[in-house]
Amino acid sequence: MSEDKSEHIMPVIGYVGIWLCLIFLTGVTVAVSFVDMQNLTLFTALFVATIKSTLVLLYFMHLRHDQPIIFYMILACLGSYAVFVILTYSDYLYR
Amino acid sequence: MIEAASDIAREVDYAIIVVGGICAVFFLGIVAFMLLCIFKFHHTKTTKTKQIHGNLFLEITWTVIPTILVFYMFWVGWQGFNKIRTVPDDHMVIEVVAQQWLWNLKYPEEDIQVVNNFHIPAGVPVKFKLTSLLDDVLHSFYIPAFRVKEDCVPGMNTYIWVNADMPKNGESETYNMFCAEFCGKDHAQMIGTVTVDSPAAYEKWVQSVKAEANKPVDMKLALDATSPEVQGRDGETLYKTYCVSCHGSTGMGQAETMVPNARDFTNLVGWKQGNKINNIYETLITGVPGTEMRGFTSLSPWDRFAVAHKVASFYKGSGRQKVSEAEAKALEEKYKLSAPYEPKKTLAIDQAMDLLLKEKK
Amino acid sequence: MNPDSKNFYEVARGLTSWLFTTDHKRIGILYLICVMTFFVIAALLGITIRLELFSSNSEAGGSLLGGGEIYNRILTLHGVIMIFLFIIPAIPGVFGNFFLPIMIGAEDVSFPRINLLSWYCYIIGAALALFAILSGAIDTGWTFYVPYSAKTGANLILPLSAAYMLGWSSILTGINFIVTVHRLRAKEMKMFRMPLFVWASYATGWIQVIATPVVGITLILLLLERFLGIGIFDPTKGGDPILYQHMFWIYSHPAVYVMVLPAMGVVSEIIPTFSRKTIFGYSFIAWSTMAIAAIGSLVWAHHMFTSGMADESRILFSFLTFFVAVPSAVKIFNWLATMYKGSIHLEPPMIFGLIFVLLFSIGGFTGLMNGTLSIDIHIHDTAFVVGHFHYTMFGGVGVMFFGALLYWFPKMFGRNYNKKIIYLCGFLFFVGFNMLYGTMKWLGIQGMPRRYADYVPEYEFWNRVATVGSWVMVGGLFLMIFHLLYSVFKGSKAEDNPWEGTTLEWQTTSPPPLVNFNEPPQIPEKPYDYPEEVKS
Repeated sequence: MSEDKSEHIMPVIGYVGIWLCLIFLTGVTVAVSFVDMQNLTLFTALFVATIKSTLVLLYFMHLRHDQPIIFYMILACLGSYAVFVILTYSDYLYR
Repeated sequence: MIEAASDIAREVDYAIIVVGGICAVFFLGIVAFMLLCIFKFHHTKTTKTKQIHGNLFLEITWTVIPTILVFYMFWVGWQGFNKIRTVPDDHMVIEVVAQQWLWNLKYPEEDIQVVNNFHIPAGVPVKFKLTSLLDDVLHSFYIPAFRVKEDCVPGMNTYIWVNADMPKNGESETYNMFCAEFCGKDHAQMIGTVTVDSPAAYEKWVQSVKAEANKPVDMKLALDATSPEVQGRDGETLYKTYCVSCHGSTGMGQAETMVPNARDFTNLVGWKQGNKINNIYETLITGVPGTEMRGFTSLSPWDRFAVAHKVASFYKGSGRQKVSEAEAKALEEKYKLSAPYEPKKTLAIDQAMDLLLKEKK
Repeated sequence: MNPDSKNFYEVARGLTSWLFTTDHKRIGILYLICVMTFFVIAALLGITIRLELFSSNSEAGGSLLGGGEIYNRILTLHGVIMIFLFIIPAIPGVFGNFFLPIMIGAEDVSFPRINLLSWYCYIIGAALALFAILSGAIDTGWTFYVPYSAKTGANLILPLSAAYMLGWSSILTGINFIVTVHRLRAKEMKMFRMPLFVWASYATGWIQVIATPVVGITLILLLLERFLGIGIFDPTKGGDPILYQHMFWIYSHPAVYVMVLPAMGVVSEIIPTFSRKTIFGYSFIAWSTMAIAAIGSLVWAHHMFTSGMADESRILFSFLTFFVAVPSAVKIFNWLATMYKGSIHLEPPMIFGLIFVLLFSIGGFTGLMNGTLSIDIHIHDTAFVVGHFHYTMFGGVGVMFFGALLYWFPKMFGRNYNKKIIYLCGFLFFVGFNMLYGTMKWLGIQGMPRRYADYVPEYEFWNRVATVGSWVMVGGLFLMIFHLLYSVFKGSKAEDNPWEGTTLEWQTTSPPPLVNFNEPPQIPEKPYDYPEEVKS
């Protein structure tokens, strides 16, 4: 078990930094939605969202300090969602 | 197997036999091996077992062989699919608009329109452009004899095409056409027929549809709701096509459909342009100025009378006044109803759809 | 063994001892009671559907239910109950809960309270579904396709929330299995020493955790669409109905494997046990399970070959679909090879195992026909598809649910059933099943669309055959259910290991004690270790 590792505590300022990052990225999503980028719209939105969720997972949910197997499991989930989106998008690209 | 009435249908049947055949051989093999094991290694016959943990060679064999076979099946399906989706250039077009629960078919080249039962010429590639009414649901246009189907999606254009065989009797042959995508209460009644005609028979059918649509109006019969001419037109269906979205299937208007100010047909109070049959007829041409009600100019006169009678039928009392001789005469002269009707060129359905979609945006 | 030790039924009595239990075995029994009840209800609804289709409405008295409205509701309920309340929770909920911890030598699952919570989610979902039935049922079919589901007058919020809660139940069970397998295996129980049923439940857990949230999102979007009109799916607002189909099938196709993988796991237990032979190609079966879980998540759009999706996507998804067939075929070949040179005992569970292999093969082979693009354009949305998925779902999962029940019945209840009655039931079931669903396939090739409350008279003869078949099949099934129910209370006492099984659950008493094992179990080197010389 990982009791020894869960002792790891990040300074509060770090969390605030991450939070500001997240706010900034939300701003980016909103700003980008005003630019018409055709097919890329979806990907930019998802790309920003992925960065945000990665930050949350790594820092707020302490994945960075947890056992690697959990990291890989979550990577597998994210990977499969990426595949879902790409396969679905194949329909919209050609329709 | 049901009759195959086109080259593509035979191609699909061939694929069924190939894929089904491979499957059948494998299935029989499985059954045979299973029976062999049951009889040969039944516990009453053998108490000696051989503990085999596996065999790499066998595992690879029965992974690789099925992989090759399914590749082959995929390829067979793909080839057939390409033919199903590739329309020859010299095709004629039929525009299909599905709605709950009927099919509107429009022939832009012949300039005719029919509901549910339609004809196509043999030996000519026919492309069906499919869609549903924008505020309707999914339907699927399916003709088993041609082995083709495709969904009709609101706000989207899809297509299938067929090239029908010459009918065996040299004249015409009729097949079933179904709705294959679940669409509600009367899904199972959303059935039509397709009749494949020889070129001559097809021409004859087109002329008869035109003649029927454009027949001069006899005012006496047109004003009589029970006359065979009015009964012969499907006022019910036309009402569903043009009126039901605002006025509702029980004719209650706003109370039923929530469309603001939609006329309630079940009483006689406050009809802006009069409530007699000739008034309703005229309103169907002119619309009601200043309201959402617009004119439906593409209706033929007989169809318009059928709709007018349908609208009138929602009022069950006896207070509706008869149309006088003079009023009938005036209507006849104003719209030249005693002459054969010349249909105006109207907007093709997909063009209209595009316009509608643009307006919405 | 200590003969005085109490089994898990005896340690506590009374209703609350069941409703607040965290014992995985009791939760399994709770699931069993529920899924059986819903199975019987949904089977009766299915019989009603077949009765309506006995005659074409063109004949006098041809319509039992008087038209499409009632028929559509019954059809929807049959689908919703069978899928969400029976097949998905059946094998993981009952046998996964009961046997997965025992088979890896654990005392319970990792999160016993979450396990109970998952049962309560199931019950809340079931209650919402039942309430939906009483308050004027839904008529959209179990797929809830838009735009129909966004327009229909029926009250959709109840069934959608029901499906949502059931999704939670499924996710919680899945998480529990994954963590239990990773954390609570007995010391010598290596991953590749686990029984194959555990492997199957593990793979199922992954699909449940990854795919189920997608349907949750979809259902929420559908509710927003319906009540706020946000226009994601509604074409009059620029939305896309096909997007709904994508999102729905991203979950609902892998859900098919949530149903079928545990069933395959049970077969992998039954066939070696009754052949008194070690499983052929253990690691290949284990890996093919994971392969099915992975590839099966990438093939959803083969439900949409005629939906108006881009042609290129149809070709891509047809290609991917065929790959699922390969690991399934590998499994079937390995099971057959397991029987070779064994010493086969045709006990009732083995009979059901073999029925599974036959019916599931037919289902799989007709699945290949569905996956072939040109054929699917013809048979899509016809009775053929209905026949196909009943072969896989009912002939596969349903049969194996009963197979598992027969196999583990002595262990779960400590009682025996009358084998002769079960043989009779199995025979009736098999004959009726093929009369019913085999005929449907034929009707589908003839072009009869599915979800039809009525049909053109050409199809009448075969529909009658199918309806008669449904009576035979359900007769056999209900007889079996009643007999098993009777045996729970009146059956003779069962031995600890009546089938000479080698997996850990057979090392404990029947029924097991609260902590599963009175003495630490012996963990074998290989999960199915039989001697070369066996008792006749």
